[in-house]
Amino acid sequence: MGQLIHMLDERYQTYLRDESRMLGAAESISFPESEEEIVAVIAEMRRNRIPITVQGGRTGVAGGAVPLRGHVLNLSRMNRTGEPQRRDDGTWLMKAEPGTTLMDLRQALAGTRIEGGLFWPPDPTEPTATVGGIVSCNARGITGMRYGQTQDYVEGLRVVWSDGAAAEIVRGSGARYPGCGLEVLALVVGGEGIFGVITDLTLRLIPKPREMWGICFFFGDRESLSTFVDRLVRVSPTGGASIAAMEYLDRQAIAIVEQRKATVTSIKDLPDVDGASIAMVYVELHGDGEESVAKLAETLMDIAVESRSDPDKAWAVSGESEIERLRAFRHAAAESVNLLIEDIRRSDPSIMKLGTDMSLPGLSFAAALDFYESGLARHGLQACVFGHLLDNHLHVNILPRDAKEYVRGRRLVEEWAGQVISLGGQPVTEHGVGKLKKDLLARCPAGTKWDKLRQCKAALDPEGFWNPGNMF
Amino acid sequence: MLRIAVCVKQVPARSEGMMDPQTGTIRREGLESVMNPFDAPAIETALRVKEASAAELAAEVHVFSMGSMKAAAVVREAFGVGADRGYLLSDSRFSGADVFATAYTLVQGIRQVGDYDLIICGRQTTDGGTSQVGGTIAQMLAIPHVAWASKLVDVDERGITVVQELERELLTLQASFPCVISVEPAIFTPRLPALRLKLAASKRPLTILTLDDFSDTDQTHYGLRGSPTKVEKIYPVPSTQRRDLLDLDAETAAELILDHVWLLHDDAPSGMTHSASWPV
Repeated sequence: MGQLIHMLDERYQTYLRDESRMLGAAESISFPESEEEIVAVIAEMRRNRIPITVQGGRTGVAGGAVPLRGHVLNLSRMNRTGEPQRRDDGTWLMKAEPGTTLMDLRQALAGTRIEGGLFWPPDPTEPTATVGGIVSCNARGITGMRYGQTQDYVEGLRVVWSDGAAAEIVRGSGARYPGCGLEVLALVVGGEGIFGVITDLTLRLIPKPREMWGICFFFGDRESLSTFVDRLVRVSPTGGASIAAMEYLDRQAIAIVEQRKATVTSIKDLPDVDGASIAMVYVELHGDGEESVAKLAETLMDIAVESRSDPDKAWAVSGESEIERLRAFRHAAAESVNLLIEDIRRSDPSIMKLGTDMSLPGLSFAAALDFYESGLARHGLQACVFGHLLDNHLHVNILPRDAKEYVRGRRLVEEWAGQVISLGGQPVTEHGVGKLKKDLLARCPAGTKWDKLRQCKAALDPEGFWNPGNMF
Repeated sequence: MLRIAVCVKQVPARSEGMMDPQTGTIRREGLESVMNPFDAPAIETALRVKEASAAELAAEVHVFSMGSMKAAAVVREAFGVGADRGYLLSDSRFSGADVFATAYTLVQGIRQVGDYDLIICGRQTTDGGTSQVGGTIAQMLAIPHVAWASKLVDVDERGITVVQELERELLTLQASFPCVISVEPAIFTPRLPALRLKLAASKRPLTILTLDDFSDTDQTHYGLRGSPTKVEKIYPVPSTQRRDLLDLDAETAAELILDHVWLLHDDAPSGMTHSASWPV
């Protein structure tokens, strides 16, 4: 046990943070490599009444992996994967340990040489995120609109509870715990580790689309952008092709990415965005073949022309490698903001990432932008905006210049949360609640899924052994 | 009219997992294929030359690629960024070609189409990496070759001026047409295909040339039979991990590190010994 558990001294300081830049505290840390070791750590911590914070890749932005006290259970060394097994319905199942990163997973799948290739659709843009963390946050990638939710791609998982007992949970089993109104799978997927620790997952994989295109459209003014987006979100699948992703970056987000482009290998060879463009919309089309995808792309080109977005300036690529470059540009927006916040924190460590994760279905895109911009103007704050166009799920990242602006920004985010809820939206969608968004959750009315999770937490972990500070 | 030819190649997108451990050869089947990344700057250079000379003389950019029918994709990709015509040199008798036979095949294809003022190649391919095709083409055509072109300075109806980047110096060279230039990746950031052009590309005709279309139809001049060199084996570079863990005081450690940093530079302070080595 002395070798498994380490004092959390200066060697492990990096494990007190995640991408939110929140700094935590803990007394000890372990890096188990098996379920047996996890059970041993749990037993030791239970004996001494020490709470546990579970970590994967620490890529979260809500402080979910940041410990407040106690022990850090870091699962990064549990990264083994199994061989994909084909099912009759054409999908595949594959075992993966929770510390498997998306990069590991992609490499493992590339190595199988299955014809056409397989992928796991809940693929958030951060390649160092772990499958355990992704499932715990119910995070999703940019292609959720075509492929569905994360929970649709978790066939089962193995969880160890605070008494050290392990449970195999299979999708569709309907298993529930007394005092808890949710199925066990629904507790764990999106439960942010507040009920137990995932030690193994069975992922559902699907064949890669045979044809993929990525297109970046650029806009010179707000009207052109709004017209395009309002029509884009109503485009229906064509033949065997559909829109898999619709992403937005405003001028400020583009500028932040381009400032560091030269140092980022994956995007340094991309051309610069025309300085006259006020925004970029990135669309991915997936389909059975080139003909159907090209037909859908023609539809988008027509919409672009009608919206006064020049299709001779729109970037259009196909194939996985080329699309990865455009995805990398989109992902760089989040990463670049994190680094910018890190720079600002050097002068004031009280400042942390202030990005929203709210969805606003039912509003036009222009109305959604106005909603956020009017709030920013009222409080005298600056921000960059990027995110998913479906349901206006935009990440408004406030860029505070000092502690006062940070405080105003936090108030504004809480104000937005209340307004979003009253408009029928979600104050937290894919980043998780963690420690930093609890206040937003508190505004949700009774009867929501958060409410049920709160009741389950009280029933299953009344002592707060797991991930103290997360969600409630 | 200024006639520009660009040589491009289709290559595997990734190198990991390509090796067949039994035979030591590259397995290409099932791998995603892309345009050789070093060729995109070559196409971009051609397009910039075309745009720069537009006021005084018309220009056309023609793309040549030797490969299987699958390589038509890279020719269409070139259409997507603005190439005017595309030629795919595809014949089973071309397969297994080394650099010499590849260059010869490209020369035959180029000659078959016509005379070109400027032929542009990328620096190398990601799967071959010899950097010899451009120079060999020039030799076979008996025209000048400028390699390592990192900047386009000027172009007119008589020739082209580029900066050649050598290890320690930059040379500004003027080459008269016809000539071959091999460009460095940094010469230009390649544009991405435009949506309208990409959509049109799938419908544009490209010309397929086989051995039977060439004036030299002697099979022994092409492919494996026409290759003076043969690949015996491909294997990953054995990695060695040497870890010398030295327990030194701060000042000694700093001096040792500085010694090794200076060894990388020729302008080390005088009196610096070049015998510094890690203690074993």
